Amino acid sequence: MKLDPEVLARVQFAFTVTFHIIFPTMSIGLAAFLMVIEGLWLKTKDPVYLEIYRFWMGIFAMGFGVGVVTGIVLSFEFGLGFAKFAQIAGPAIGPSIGLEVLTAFFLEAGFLGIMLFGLKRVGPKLHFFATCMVALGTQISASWILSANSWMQTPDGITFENGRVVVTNWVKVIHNPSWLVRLPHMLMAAFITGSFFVAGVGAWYLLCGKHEIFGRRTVSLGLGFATVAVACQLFVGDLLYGKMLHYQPSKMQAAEGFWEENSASPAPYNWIIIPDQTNQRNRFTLATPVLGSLWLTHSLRGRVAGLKNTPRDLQPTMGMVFYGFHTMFIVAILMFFIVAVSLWLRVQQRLFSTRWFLRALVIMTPSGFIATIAGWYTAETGRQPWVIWGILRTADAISPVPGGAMLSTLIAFVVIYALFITAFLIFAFRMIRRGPEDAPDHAAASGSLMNALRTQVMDHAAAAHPGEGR
Amino acid sequence: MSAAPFSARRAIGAVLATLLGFAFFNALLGVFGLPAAITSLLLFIFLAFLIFLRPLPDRPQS
Repeated sequence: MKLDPEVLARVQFAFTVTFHIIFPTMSIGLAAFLMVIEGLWLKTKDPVYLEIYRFWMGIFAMGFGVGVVTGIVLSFEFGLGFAKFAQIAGPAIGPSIGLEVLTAFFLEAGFLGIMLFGLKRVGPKLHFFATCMVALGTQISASWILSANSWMQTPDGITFENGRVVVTNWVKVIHNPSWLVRLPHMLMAAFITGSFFVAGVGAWYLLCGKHEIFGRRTVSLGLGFATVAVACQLFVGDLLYGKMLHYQPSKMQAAEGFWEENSASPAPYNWIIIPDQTNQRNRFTLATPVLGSLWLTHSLRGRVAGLKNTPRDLQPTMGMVFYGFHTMFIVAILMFFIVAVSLWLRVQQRLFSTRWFLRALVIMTPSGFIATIAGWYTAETGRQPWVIWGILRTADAISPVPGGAMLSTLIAFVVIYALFITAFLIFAFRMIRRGPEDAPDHAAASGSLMNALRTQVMDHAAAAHPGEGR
Repeated sequence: MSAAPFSARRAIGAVLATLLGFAFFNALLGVFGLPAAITSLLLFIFLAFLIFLRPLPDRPQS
């Protein structure tokens, strides 16, 4: 069997970046949540806020750690899988990634220790300042990465000379046409992810009849954040849609699942399609009449452009873009439904007693992660066949590495990341099951997975022989 | 409000709330234009804050 290095390089990067994006999304969302919670604690001195802070700080610390480690891997992968991309585009995106380290990582590293271990070692105001700086650091980090990625989507401020990018205007490279819309879209995604995560765990406690006060407060706060963030996200998402329609029409043509140069009028909204890229048609379509015109053209009879407007050799694969986009959009609809119902239940004072709603919240706990990953799939698969839009094709950006070597590193990443996610889930479920009352004043660093498992075994032993003690 | 699990008043309320939610969803998506989207975003957040101001009990009420 002949191994295609291009396919393997893309699969490898897709796998590692899919795994990675879970953790910074969680870190950005939880850091902002922790900042607000600590601010509320300082203002009200209500011990429940401190309990919430201590509990979520532990999960934030784990997510932050895994996020940093898996993020570093991505930089190395530019060399491993996409050396030609690094060589050609390095002058433009290299400084953005370097500035992320200088501005965001240094800020986070300076204050993370105080945040995680300083609750009883420094004054409350200094500790709050540290939490604010860590939250700010996560957002600065996101802004540099989004700047670099947005430049790949909508490059500006450069010329292309002798097969290499030459920067002519740094402001335009950083402040490229899509950055100022993609950045708030990503930040809102992170806030929503954190909010639904927090609300889902709180709802689970309420359903189990455990930690009643903590559960109620976290459900209320999580849904409060989610309500504002989901509304803002719908607004920003539509702005981004318009921007991408202008700069990357083929991406949005694929995202909506239309082939013909102009759709029928009024256009239906496609929910499920089975695309046939070879024959440039859909084998099956499930759609709602008129809704396509309404949502995509903001008129009752507008026509939607299809993928045949783009030459075949420049078309992305419709199925991947369509289902990435629609997964994100359908999850967004569900989220809006949940926050709207939460407002209704809050008015009726039934927010904590409506069990079907609490169950729905538990089911929605990972919804932010799913929507974020789906959104990134839309962004990256929709940009194909370009790695830098209109400048460099993905096929021309691959490292001159044999397929076998690429496959072996892919297998290594899968194995190592499987260990990472297993460890993270074991620790996270353990912390959630243990509950807020036993949360330590500082991030508990047990040192190894073995220690954590040993503690679990001892917990079980103590539960089995309650009289013997430890 | 009636304690019955389903009442006409509750059903009408649910229908009105659904219609209001659908209208907000479309407005936020920009269906009625950018000024209407900005207005509806501000209005939605304002209404949400008004609702958040109502205190919720920390413990189940007997």
